[in-house]
Amino acid sequence: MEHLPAVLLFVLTPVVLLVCARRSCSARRGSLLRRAAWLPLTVLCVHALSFALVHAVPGGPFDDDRPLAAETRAALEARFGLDRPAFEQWLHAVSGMARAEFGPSLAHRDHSVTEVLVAGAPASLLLGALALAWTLALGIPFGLWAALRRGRSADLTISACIALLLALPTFVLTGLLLIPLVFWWKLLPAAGLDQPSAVLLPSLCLGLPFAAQVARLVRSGVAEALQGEWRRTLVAAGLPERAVAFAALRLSLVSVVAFLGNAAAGVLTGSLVVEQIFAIPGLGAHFVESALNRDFTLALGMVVLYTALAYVLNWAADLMLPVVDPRVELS
Amino acid sequence: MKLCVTLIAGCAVLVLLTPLLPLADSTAVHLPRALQTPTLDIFIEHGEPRPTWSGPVAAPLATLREALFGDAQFAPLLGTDALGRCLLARIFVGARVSLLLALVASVASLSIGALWGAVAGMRGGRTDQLLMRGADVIGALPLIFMVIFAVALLRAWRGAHTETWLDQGAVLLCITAAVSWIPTARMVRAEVMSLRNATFVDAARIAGCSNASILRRHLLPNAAPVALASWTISVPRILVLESFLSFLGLGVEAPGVSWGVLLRQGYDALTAVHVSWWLILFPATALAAVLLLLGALGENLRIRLLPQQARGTP
Repeated sequence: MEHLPAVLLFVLTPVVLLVCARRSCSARRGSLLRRAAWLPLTVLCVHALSFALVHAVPGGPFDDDRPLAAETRAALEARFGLDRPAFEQWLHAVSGMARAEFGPSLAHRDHSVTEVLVAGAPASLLLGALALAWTLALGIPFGLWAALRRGRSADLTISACIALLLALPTFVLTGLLLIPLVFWWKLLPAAGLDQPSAVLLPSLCLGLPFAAQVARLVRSGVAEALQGEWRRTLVAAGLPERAVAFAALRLSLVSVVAFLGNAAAGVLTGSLVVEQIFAIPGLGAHFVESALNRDFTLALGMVVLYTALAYVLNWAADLMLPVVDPRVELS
Repeated sequence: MKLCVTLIAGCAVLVLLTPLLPLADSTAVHLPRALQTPTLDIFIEHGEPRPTWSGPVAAPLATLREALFGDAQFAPLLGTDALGRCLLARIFVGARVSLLLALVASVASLSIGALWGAVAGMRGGRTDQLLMRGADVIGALPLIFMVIFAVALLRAWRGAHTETWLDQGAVLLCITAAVSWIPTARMVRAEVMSLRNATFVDAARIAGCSNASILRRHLLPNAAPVALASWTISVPRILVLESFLSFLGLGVEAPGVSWGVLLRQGYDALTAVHVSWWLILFPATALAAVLLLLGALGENLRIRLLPQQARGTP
């Protein structure tokens, strides 16, 4: 009975979804269903791999500088279920995972993993959402501007900025923005999340590389779209240049939306660094720390959460595609 | 292109000849002058401790330096860190570590990727399916999280077993190589598949060549431009991965220096009271410059080596 939710989630759901996918008449809906079916399987696979990794490496969460008494150690291991065979532990972890319970954290005593994750999630989510907002808010206008001024100085400046931003990793970019804005001109607070303006710079640093990628996609997409025959028709019909540009922009948005899934996964990775630099009390810090502390349960919870998030965001971006461009559904 | 190659070659020579340069000792702790601002007032100083180099190339160069410069060396022109160590010297030493690691890891990933892709493309059919699905699965995993995880675990393990042969650098190298070969494999596979049915391959097969020798003599040399192009793209990517891990405190360990470590120490030393901007700005600039140069080189090489592919992109 204990394993029922796990069986439902990891066996029944994928099978049902796969059967639906096979029967569905539209190829696109089929592929979306198939990917939904693969979500629990991917999570399970990643969980199993991480679990194996954790247990393959010798040493345990209670290895301190000061060795524990044998009885204390045995009692601790019995309490956290670490004395049982590995496979049994794994089954237990999987069935817990299906109920969104990852057990007690081994390093944050008296807190469950779920509590730790829920405590860190709002800050991380805010940061990530804002970063994606920056990505779109900066990437689309600048890409459009560059495409409309193709070959002129505005285009060249924007293209140079894009190349620069794409080459720089987050922690380099952050340093180059942080020092003048925060320490020299004192425009923004340095760390924490206690005032609204504090989240501006971290999210900007996190979003800028992706904004550059979006700008590049929009620039080449719009420029290519403007070469189509329909442009001449629209212009001849008397539409203002701006309306034509927006029509072209709409055509280029498909590649942007398709890229957003990747961007979301990248934002998750980048937030590890940004949260550390700006001392933001989010999830990122737990990631490295839990693995170093050998806090098995928390580390597994983090890996599963990040995998599922990255997968779902990617999937959602694909779901959005026909909304942006109905031709995707037809093909 | 020429400028790019010249600059990269210049960087490489500087990095190789670091023991010859009159730099301060990158490990000499000198607390009285901790967090000194960059200055050009004193350019050369005498009598400071000189770095010791070992190794077949570095040791003779260091001897040569003694002969050339004596006890003269550059003052900390780029400032000093929280322990009073010369940032200029540390950037040079860090470059050796970062760039060497990126170079070796990228060559390793190139060989894995080329072999994997070539076998998949050559054999086709079921082998191809199996190998490429394997690559897909590895590519679909959230690798960066697995990497952080693996490195952190190995590091914790090493904390317990100090006598192990597996040092942090080796771990970093294996892991970066293991996760970065997939694009190379895809590109080489596509190239090998397009060549597999060429007439000269048929001729070789009729002449009685085995699959392995066709691969070695005919297919791999023809796929070399593609592999080279993907290699130049992978070097900056691996450099970023290394500095990312070092930045998180999972890469090169504290007494060791790499650009990621320098940046991390820069952020750690930065406080509102003492804005030690040089500790971030100079390593960041070094890393950014090298990444931009390598990126430009990769793009140029791609256009030269794969003209048919590059023409499609605006």
